[in-house]
Amino acid sequence: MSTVLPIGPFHPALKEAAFIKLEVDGEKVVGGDFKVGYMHRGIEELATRKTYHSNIFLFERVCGICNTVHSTCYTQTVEALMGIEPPERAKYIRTIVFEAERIQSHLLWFGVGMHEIGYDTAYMYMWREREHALEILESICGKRVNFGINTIGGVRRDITPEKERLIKTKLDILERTIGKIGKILVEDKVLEARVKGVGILPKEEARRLCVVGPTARGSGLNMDTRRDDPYAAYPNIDFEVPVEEGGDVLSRTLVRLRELAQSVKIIRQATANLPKGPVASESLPLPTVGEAFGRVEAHRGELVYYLRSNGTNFPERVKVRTPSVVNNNSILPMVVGETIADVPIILASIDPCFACTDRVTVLDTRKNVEKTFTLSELRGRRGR
Amino acid sequence: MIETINMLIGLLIYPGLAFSLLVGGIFYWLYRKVRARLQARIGPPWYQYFMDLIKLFSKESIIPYSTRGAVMVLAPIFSLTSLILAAVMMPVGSRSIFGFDEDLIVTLYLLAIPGLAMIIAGNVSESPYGAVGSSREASIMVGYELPYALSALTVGFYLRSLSISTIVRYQIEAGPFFMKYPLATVAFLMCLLPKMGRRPFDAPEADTEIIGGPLTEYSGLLLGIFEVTNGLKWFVIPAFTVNLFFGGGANPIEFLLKCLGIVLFLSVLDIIHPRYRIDQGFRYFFKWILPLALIDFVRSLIWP
Repeated sequence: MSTVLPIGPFHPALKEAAFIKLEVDGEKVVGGDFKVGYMHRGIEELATRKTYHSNIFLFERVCGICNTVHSTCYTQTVEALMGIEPPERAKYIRTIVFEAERIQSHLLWFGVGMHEIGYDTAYMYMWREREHALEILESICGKRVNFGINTIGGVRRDITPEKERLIKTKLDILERTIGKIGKILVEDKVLEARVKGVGILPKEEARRLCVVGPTARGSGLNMDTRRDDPYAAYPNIDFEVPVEEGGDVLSRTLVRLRELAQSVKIIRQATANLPKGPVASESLPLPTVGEAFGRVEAHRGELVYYLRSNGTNFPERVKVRTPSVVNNNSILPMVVGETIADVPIILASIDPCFACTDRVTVLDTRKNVEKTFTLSELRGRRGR
Repeated sequence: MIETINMLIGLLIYPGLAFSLLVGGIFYWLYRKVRARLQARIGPPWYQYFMDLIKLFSKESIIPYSTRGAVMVLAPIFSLTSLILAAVMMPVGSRSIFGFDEDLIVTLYLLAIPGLAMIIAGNVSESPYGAVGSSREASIMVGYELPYALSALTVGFYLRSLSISTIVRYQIEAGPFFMKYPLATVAFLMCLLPKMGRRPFDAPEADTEIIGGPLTEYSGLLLGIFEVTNGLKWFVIPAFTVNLFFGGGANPIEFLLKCLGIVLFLSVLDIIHPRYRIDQGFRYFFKWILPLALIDFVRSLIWP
């Protein structure tokens, strides 16, 4: 006999609106359903009505935590469409901002994850240390949240020697923090009891569900776009891709912890080898008729942009596939069989971002059918 | 006439509702303040708890249509009454106004009622979160009530007396019991954490899992009464601990300072721990705490 325990659309464990219908038998989860779609904003449609340049700032607002990820991927795709190459210095600055943002995103995630299992002290502590990463970003970009650093054909602000010194001191502090987080993870017995062996996603299951990013690497799938398909300054930078075999919450946590250390290493290398020269291309051509495809390794996994141009200053179609779209599918297989108490931390362990996941499905309630529109149908609707 | 007035003063002012609530509210604020400072936050002002109470009392109390309304109203009242009675029997500074010869047993029972009230509250509120919360509260109670009662009775068995005043007077002469029965003291202190709903045993009220647990459907005045019992708990439970194991106090000041020590100790334990899952918490009590309590209980029986 199972009862239904709703988690969401608004629930303290969720930082955004989503709905998880859990079927529970006592404390044990025996089934469930997962629904998103409370925050659809129609960004892909909106993008076709704005110029290529305005879209940079639109796509930065797809997600609040990982915004330079979106603008980097978008500008790289547009640059591929235009057939231009940004200056070397711009590529390095993009890499630095990209990795600094990864540090703040992962530290934020650590805080949220600790909060889900009731470890509020560690949560507050990590968010305090996250300020150092935000200060790096503020000194480079002038802003703390939506950075607005990328532009088509380069970046908008340069890194001066004073900023380089600031980055260096802040990185030292962050490195100590990462060491302390590692110590908490290894030494705290109560924490270990909560995350070890919980929410297991086996390697085969992970491959079948096509998960990406730390969720995949925590299940032993060795993939990272930064290494497999390098962009920006990554071809010239030496770093490792951490992989854990366990597949449980602890493995995904350890992957993120080791990624933090790698990010610090990458920023150190990039600031030390910063090439001289301009930071942006002077003149930009109009994009040619055609299509382009770009991908980057966002903090939550592989992010994909597809662009189609019709030769004007407005893109004809932009398609965004955020990492959470695929990672969310792994929630249900992981929670079934665990207890209610484990659901929040399992949910948090894939670092879900529901706002960038929402897509539209048209439901006809009278006939009770779902309808998915094809590209040609959408084109027809726009033509009317 | 004089007796009735004395009794009313005892119940409502000192050492009953008003005094206990004031001290408990300040202890609760201290817990929140220490917690905030150790977490690099500022923390609330000292009157925050009382302002919260005023706000809750001034709000409408919504009773869901599908619940058994009378039981839902009675649950917080049971909880409040039992804690006030426990407070008036508690010797504050070696002198108890309403104490009698068997008050140790009665206090043990009275202090179990808030937990039972939580179970009732969760079950009658017809909310799935309340149901899960009260089933968790029930299972953690099974875990902690046994070692808790055993370690409290250890002291009584040693003195062959069930009066808290006798226990306090003996300790003032012969030194506190925590030196004689350290294992029972540890067991008793650990049992206080789930009793007050503190980490790592706060699974019944885990906000990220089941929202408010048993209190999810409560609002306004009824929730306010539960908040009052929460404040009273912060005085009555540390006071009980001090009386049993830490020698009471020759005067109220010494007594309150010792209570403060217990409050700070519990706060630090709460701050440095994440939350156990309910089955892990339950196992913890049976595996570690119950044997500790048993050892000292048997010692008190064999070598009086």
